[in-house]
Amino acid sequence: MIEVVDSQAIEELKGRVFDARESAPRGVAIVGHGSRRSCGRAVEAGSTISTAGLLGWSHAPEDMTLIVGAGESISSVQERLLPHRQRLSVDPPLRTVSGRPDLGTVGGLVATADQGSLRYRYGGVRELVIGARYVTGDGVVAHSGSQVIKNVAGYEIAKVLVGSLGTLAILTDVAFRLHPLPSETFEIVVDNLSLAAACHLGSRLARQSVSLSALYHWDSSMVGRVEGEGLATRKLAERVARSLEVDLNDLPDGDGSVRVAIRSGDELSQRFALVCGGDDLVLRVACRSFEAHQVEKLVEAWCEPRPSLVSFLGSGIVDLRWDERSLVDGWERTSLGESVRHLRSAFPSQWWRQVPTWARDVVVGDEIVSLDPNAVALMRSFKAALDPEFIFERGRMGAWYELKS
Amino acid sequence: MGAVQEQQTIRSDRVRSLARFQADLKSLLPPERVLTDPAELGAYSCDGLVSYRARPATVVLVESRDEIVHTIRLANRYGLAFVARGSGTGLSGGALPLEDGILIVTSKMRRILEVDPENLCAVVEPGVINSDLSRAVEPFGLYYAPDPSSQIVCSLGGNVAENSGGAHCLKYGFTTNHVLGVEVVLPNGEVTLLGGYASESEGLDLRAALVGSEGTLGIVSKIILRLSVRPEAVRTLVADFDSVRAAGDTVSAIIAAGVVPAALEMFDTLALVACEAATNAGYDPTAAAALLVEVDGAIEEVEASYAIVVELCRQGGARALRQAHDEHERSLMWRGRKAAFAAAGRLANGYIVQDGVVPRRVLSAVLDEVAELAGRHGLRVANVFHAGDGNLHPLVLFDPATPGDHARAERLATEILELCVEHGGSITGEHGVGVEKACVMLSMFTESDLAVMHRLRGVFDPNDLCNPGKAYPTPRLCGERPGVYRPTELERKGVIERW
Repeated sequence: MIEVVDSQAIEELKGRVFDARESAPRGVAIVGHGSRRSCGRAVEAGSTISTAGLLGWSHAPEDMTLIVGAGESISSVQERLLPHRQRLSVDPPLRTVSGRPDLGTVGGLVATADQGSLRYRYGGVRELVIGARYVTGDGVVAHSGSQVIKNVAGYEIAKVLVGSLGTLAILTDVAFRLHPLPSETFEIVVDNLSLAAACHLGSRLARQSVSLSALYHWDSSMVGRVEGEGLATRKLAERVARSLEVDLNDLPDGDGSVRVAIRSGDELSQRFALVCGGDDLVLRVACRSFEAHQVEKLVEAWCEPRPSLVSFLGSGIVDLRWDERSLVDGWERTSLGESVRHLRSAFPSQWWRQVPTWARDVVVGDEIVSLDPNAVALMRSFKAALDPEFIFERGRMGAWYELKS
Repeated sequence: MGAVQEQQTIRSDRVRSLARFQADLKSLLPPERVLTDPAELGAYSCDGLVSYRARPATVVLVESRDEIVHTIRLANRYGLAFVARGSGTGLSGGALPLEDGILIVTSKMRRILEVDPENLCAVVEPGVINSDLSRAVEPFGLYYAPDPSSQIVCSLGGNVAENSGGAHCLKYGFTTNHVLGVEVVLPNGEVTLLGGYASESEGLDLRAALVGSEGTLGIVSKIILRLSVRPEAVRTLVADFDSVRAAGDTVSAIIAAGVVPAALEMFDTLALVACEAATNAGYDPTAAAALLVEVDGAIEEVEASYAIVVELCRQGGARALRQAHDEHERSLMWRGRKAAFAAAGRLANGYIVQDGVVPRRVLSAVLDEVAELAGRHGLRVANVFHAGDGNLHPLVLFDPATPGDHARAERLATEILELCVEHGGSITGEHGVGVEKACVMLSMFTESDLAVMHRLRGVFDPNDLCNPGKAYPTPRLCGERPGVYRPTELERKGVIERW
């Protein structure tokens, strides 16, 4: 794999890792722009390693691949790809750093697997990562994967690093698969729609050959996004809208207030990214592709205070969101923690998976119930294999993770 | 104790352990599914890479997860290594048994446990045949997207082990993109579930490490797969060119135009000659190169993309375009493509199939360099490959009866692989490393890269019992050389094709 971050920066990084090992009892935080620090649990760190200086760029437009330094900002990546009519197919929530909107860095995106609504068509961040260079907790610099899309040589450690919250290694270079940047975008909006109805309609839509880019439900609306080139895209959007109108008539609990509308552009999706990036406490749940309404039922039965739900239909990701400003009282936070514990135990173990949360300790507590002991043992062992002194992002994945098996 | 005596002691200990293992296993499993008769064992001495052979001492035909568990626990008790095998169609020797070792065959685990059309997923046992799953979900308008060439005989467990692709993976991705969860029997006999029914899960994504691990991290006992929706429209064409470079440049132009075809395959003259002779599919053997392009999806998208492809082929200098007007014509085009490897036998008595990947942008240049290398060795190379993702499959032709020809062909095949790596590519796009390419891993990865991979392997299999000696360079393997490609019985009969 082409290395885009210069060797001096890598040597300096190794030096910082060795320094951190010397002061291992205190651990080290790995920070890019700091836009995703609230993902996962609170970190115990005596020092910080900044990855913002890990810059580099190698774009192969004909191959639709990009190798980029982990410190590059996502905004700048998309801007530099724009003249080539290509994009990295992610639309992560727009977060705020020092009062400014920020999509964060490549390293942060990969470490937190922070995909947005484009996950419907392009999958999570793991589906886009084809290779990586990284530095382990004992200072080993290694690669995994390649810069070509098709490659089956070696274990796909680069994909394991996706969503590992920086606990295994420090990413330095990441190779991505890119996609064409569409010239036309339409949003098909169904207002006043329950989540159960959205799941039903979404599943029917998914079983038609219509290639939506995004499909999500939020605030009583379902939004589908159609992207592509020229007139064909509008035709496709119109067909989706017609199909939804027909399906709406079949809904058992349909009412006259439900409306289907087509809008040009992606204004709603941009607003959605802004909302998803807000300061709420978020617990992310993953269920089968179109069963978000089952999560909603459990939430209604077990959760007080009640969260709002953001559902990424088709991928089964449901974000339970609580406005932190409304959780002012200690008892309310405790109540929320209790609710989540109930929720966790109510989830059928193989159906529901709690994934990295933006809720910190207030919600998630320390126990882990969704993984079997053998999976936990493997994860602990791999953590110990890559970060033997447990210096990286200590506590972030949870106490369960940092015990030597 | 002298070295020879020590070796004899180890060997006799091993023989005793093996006998105890066999006896214990026969008390746990029906004895007819524990094969120890040398006459029966011979049938399992290789996978699709027939140039490597080793006869196992015991073949266990498991029918359930618990039987895998029993077998592995017993193997652990006696310190015996084991290898998993599905249908045995792998092309890199990943399922090559250990000489006098244990082979656990999962091909009898063929139940489709669940189909959930509303949520576009299915749960299968590892022995389910790839195309059987697509057939089972066809009534719902669904299919399983990864389509390796051996899909009518290869097992989904094997697909997971090898991270199989296929002609349509350019658009639809590889096995790893379609596996939601895997239940795996770990090398110590414990069972775990990695991933689940959703696309993301808590903790580390170890499912990503398991898929494509070539059976070195455990044996898959259940797989949760993502299903895809059958496209409502498909358009296929063949475009002939007067030069390989023009065809290669057209591939780049199609991708650069933002079209992601479902498949984008390329042939050179030698390959066209062989394919046409074997199938009469309508390919023009006088063309210097041909592209087989397929676009699929929603009608609106397909019509738009197809028009772009046709225009770009014309702009790229295509001298003829043949469009498939119906399913019959389309399948004829694909029959020609799929017969390509077997058809190479019409060009020469011996040939070696190589599997390497290059960045698409250097495709034409690399093909020129391959031709130059072939000329230097005095050999011919036929090229038929997945051009859309840069996955080359050069067929190095030689005459086994000519002294030195075979050795030259092997050297050329290795040099082609080195060329792929020099251009920033990979030593394997879909066949895997197995035993065949373990020695070439160091041309692509550093010692540090391999050391970290080894740590991962150690996490799953600290005692090195699960498919040892595969996927990594070892002195034993590196002392050996890849052999001549010999078609399997299934290939000779035309049941499967090697792409």
